[in-house]
Amino acid sequence: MSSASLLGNSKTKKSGGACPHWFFIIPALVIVFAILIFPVIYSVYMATFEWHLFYSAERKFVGVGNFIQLFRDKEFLHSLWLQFGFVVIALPIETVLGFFVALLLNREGKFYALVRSLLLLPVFILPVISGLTWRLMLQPGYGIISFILEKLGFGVKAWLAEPDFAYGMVIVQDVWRMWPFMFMFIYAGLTGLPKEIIEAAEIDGARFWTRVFKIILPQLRPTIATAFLLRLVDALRIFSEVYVMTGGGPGNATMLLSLYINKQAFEFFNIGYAAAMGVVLLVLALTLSFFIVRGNIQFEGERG
Amino acid sequence: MPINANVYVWLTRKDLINDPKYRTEFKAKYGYDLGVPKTFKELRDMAEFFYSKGIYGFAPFTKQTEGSTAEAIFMFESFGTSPLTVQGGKVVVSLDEKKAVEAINFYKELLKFSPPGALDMGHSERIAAFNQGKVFTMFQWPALVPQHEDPNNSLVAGKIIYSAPPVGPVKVAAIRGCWVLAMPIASKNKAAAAEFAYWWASYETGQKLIPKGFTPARSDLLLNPNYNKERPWFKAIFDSMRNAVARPRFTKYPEASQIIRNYWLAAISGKMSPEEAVRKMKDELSELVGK
Repeated sequence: MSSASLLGNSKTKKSGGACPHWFFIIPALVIVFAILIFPVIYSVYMATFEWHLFYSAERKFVGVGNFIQLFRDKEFLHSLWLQFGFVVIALPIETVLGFFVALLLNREGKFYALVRSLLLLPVFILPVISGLTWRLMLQPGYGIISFILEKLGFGVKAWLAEPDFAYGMVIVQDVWRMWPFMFMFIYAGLTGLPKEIIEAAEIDGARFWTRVFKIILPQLRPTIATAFLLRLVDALRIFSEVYVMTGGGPGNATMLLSLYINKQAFEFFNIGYAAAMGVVLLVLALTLSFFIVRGNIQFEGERG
Repeated sequence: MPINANVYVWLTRKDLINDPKYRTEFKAKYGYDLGVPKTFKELRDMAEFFYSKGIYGFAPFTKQTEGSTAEAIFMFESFGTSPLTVQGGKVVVSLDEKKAVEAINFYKELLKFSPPGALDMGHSERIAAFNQGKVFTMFQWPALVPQHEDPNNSLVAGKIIYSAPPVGPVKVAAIRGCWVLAMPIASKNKAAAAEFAYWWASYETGQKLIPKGFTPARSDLLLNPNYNKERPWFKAIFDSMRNAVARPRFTKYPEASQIIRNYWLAAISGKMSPEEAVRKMKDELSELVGK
């Protein structure tokens, strides 16, 4: 029996018979609907209510009221700004670091293979463990980073109680943990590049930076865009490591958007308001993803 | 009903206040006997004295959590003011700006005698500092006290005196926790719930649970001399309970708590002047309760 007849074809459809391929897709569709589409729809629905969890029975339909309120909420705008700063500072650093280390280690040999493997270790550390470790390293009295800063003449300080420093350290922690992710992607892309073109450029006398900007980067663009996209989505929902490291503090200096959403939903119980913020975050992620994908990543059906 | 006794208990190093050398030097400098600090003035003096001897005088709670709100309310209440009170069934902002500023300034004074990194201290940092013998005095929650008395983990086990917190310029304010045994009005089996509550709160059940680490809320158990031999903090819990201060419990309390600790921490860390912090705290609390 041919695969076409197993999966059903247009002829079967036209004859009004069963359509087995849809039958097999149904479980996946049900799961996707249950864990992805329905929660999104339900979040949008919740976002249209003034809804406090203590008083669910008294929830009030406010339409777009929560969304209007959001843009009057100084805390929300502050969190959005911090989130934006986090993405535009951390991700480029991770990308640049990942790219150049991938270039450096794109060599044959057991030593390089070992170094490449070791460099990936931080990615496998749980975010919450990473956050706690960094908190401990910055702890005055015990922390190694605190100790080094003390020896450098900065004195003994509660570093995570300093707003700017705490925000900086949240970014450094993320860069430390996630740059190998970019490295991994870019290295995989580099190994797939045709060596002949780079060798031809070398023979033609192209210098290192010329090769990087004129040959390697253009060819790696889809790979870098894909890695950047995945990291972007991850960075927009960063939560646990910051939660254990600073709890959003001092004050609200590290209150990234996901922490503020959590606070509104599960500390203040304003579930409708929190849902509205979640929807804004989703729209933000989709919009940014659209611009990254467009012109950078081609899908199967789009290739000419 | 309280599910257990959860209230600020004050810890003071017995070995330090009984040291003859320290006693003599302290008396010579301050003109009164070294002992468990009974007033805020004594707390400040003793903290300063031990700081000069290489022992931190006080361990604050400054993490960005509810513990910092509790610390703020402890200070405000000791100075005679409350951020929020219930009047006629309605929550109103009642913070006296002058008293609140005095409270903040006093706490800032105590921070001078606290361990390095005093602005980032939570439970684990405080327990570690105290158990290593680096701190003279501080408050603690009853559930955490056994950690100080565990000789395997504490250099000061058996060297601690427990008491109610020192009296502030206006009153003693021991902050109370909030673990309660409550029966929902909508409960369909109130009789069974009540039976459980009676069982839980009974003297006999307390006797069975204390060896497992339970802190009873019954005065007859807290004052029982047999238990106080092994758990000297029980009597202190009883004393603290007599001066217990509750944090205002209402629907928007989590938001109120966030506002209080944000401005409290901003003020004690010097990132904002106490006057400005108190003013902003009041404004935001007013906006919150007025919504």
